[in-house]
Amino acid sequence: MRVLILDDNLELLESLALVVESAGHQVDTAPSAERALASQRDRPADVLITDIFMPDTDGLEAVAAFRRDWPRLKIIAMSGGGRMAKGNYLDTAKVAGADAVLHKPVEPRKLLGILEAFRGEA
Amino acid sequence: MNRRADALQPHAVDYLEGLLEGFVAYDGDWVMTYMNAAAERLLNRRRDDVLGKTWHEAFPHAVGNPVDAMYQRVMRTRQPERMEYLYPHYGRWLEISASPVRSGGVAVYFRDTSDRETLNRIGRTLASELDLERLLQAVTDAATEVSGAQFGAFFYNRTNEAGESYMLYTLSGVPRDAFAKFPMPRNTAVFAPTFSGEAIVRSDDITRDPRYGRNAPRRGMPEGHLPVKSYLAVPVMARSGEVHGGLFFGHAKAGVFTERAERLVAGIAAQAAIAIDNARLYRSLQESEQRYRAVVESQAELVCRFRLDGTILFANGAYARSVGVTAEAMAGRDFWSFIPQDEHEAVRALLGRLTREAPEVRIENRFGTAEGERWMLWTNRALAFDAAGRVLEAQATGVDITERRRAEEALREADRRKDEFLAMLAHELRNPLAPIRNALHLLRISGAGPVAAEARDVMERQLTQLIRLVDDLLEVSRISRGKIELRRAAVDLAGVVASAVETSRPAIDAARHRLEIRLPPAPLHVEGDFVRLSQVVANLLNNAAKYTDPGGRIALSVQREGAEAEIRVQDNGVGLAPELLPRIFDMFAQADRARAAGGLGIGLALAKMLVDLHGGRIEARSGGVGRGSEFAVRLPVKSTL
Repeated sequence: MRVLILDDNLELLESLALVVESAGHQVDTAPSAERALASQRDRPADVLITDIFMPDTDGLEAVAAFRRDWPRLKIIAMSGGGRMAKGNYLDTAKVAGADAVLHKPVEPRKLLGILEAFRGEA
Repeated sequence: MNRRADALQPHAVDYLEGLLEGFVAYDGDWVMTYMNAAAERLLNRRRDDVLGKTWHEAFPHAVGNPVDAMYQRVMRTRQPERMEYLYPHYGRWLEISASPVRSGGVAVYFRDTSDRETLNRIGRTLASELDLERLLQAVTDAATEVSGAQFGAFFYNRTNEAGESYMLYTLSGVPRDAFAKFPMPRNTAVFAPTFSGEAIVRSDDITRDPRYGRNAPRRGMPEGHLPVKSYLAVPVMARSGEVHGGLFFGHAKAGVFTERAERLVAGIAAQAAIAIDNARLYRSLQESEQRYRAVVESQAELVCRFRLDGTILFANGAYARSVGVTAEAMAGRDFWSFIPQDEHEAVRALLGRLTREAPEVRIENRFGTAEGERWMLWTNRALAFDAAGRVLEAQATGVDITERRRAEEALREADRRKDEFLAMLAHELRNPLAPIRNALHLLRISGAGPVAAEARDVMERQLTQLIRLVDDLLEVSRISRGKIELRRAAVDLAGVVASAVETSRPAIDAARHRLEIRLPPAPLHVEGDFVRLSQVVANLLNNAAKYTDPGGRIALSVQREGAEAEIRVQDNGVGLAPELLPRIFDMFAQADRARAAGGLGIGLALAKMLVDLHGGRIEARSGGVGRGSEFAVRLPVKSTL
């Protein structure tokens, strides 16, 4: 699958890209919502993995924008909110259109498991 | 005696002749038909001169005066009347009763009330005198005058604040130095009846009295004493029976003091006693007021007495200096003028809570002093109430707490900054964790030798621990900033338990604990936030798993207890020391032992806070160290109606 990863932390972006690539996926990365939207228009991905807590962009708005323009896109939302955030932002992310929600730091095996599940659905 | 008097029954005449009151009878033609002996004396007329004459013939000076008018009315209306009249012709007060008689005439009784009037007048004078020294002088003067004495003295017992009694005296009719060189009267046979309150002593010649001259050394009056033969001494006694002192009168001539004089002085003494009681009460009130002021003046606190409308009745020096007004100018000022406008409503509301039953309220408010605004803590105490129990007067005692308020404010600010810092720290610490976790994953899948694999396992375990610490830290900052909101719904506690067990299962299994779960037969619903309630139960389970030695037993049960649902978590672990129990739910209370177990010690504090938000209660019990622990959460059951 083609996976687009959006996060403003470049180290995370790189390491997560390597993890996802290691499972045999094609990966595009974007450090901002604007760049991610441009990337999706050029090379549409099957899955978007995005942070929902970024200084410049409201991650939730980004989720909603992707969902509007690419209804079939699978979206995984990540939050930096910790355990307590489970009831708040990640729920909201689901409402905004995310297919799965994870909290940072994401367990790589869990993330890869979700991607596998998406591949099965496709 | 004329025919009509003859017609009176002999015993009736006896009766009339024996009266102290005057009695005169007129027939329907105003002819005087009878006059008794007392009337002769009181009117200074002989009955032979007036019997058979008409009223106007006998007493031409009375024609047209108020007494004449009353007689005419009684004759006409046949209704009895009575009046008290200062009769100019006789120079005395007479009380006169006129009644119609059946045969057509008028019968008249009268008596001299001059002495009573005199006493009334003196009584009024005395009653209006609240200054004790002036009162004593007025008593002495009045009694000396009415008794016809050459001189009089009032010896008056006083007790000072130390409880010692001493004697004051006032004199009338002689200059003060006439007695200045004599000692106070002693308890001699002559004086004793007076100072003990036993009896009045009246003597036509005291020097011939058997009680006189029996005491050494002088055996009589000291040398240089004014000569006294006629002697009258009357005790002055309070209603309580206490002897205030004695009134003494003397005259150089013998036989001056009549029975009437004795009666009048006794009357004055009775009135004086009442007036003295009042004057003493007034003085003690004044003295207590002065003592109050002296105490209040010396205080560093700001003190003011006020009516609830804000009128200051009294303010001490500290208060006056504080607001830059002289102490004298404080009375009548409005204390609202010293309180910033935006505080008025709150202060008024708090003062409104003062009642007879709860007469004290404390108020912290800003206060405008001459040197700027200060924070004050006022203790307001209601002092006087009206019949309906409304507060008439209150006293405020104020302490300057500006420094304390500043320190508190600084502390709050520091605390807020700390919380912000914690929140920021937790977020910033989390950022590096995600790439590290990813990198460890990449190391794992890239494969390596056994040493590298072991090193990687260590890093993964420590990373997991680090992630949990950072999560805890983030939660601490959320709690202390109050950033938790419940998403309420009807929640089945069986679901809550299932979710919590799922979360805690790894910790329980890792320590090989046995978990026993007991649920109620029917669903038990509470109104709450599913995620938070799961978190509460998971925290209790984690706590039990953490503080129970491996292979322990943990029991989780849910049951209904009346209107409450109870969730209980029991373990057979290390237990709680009694001194830890009261603060087991405080943030970081378990910090010491929690650190040993690899946490921050916030799990129970968080659980309590979440239970509180749900309107529930949480309790901890333990038989002591090594005897296991039990935690019980009680939540209101959601009504199924």
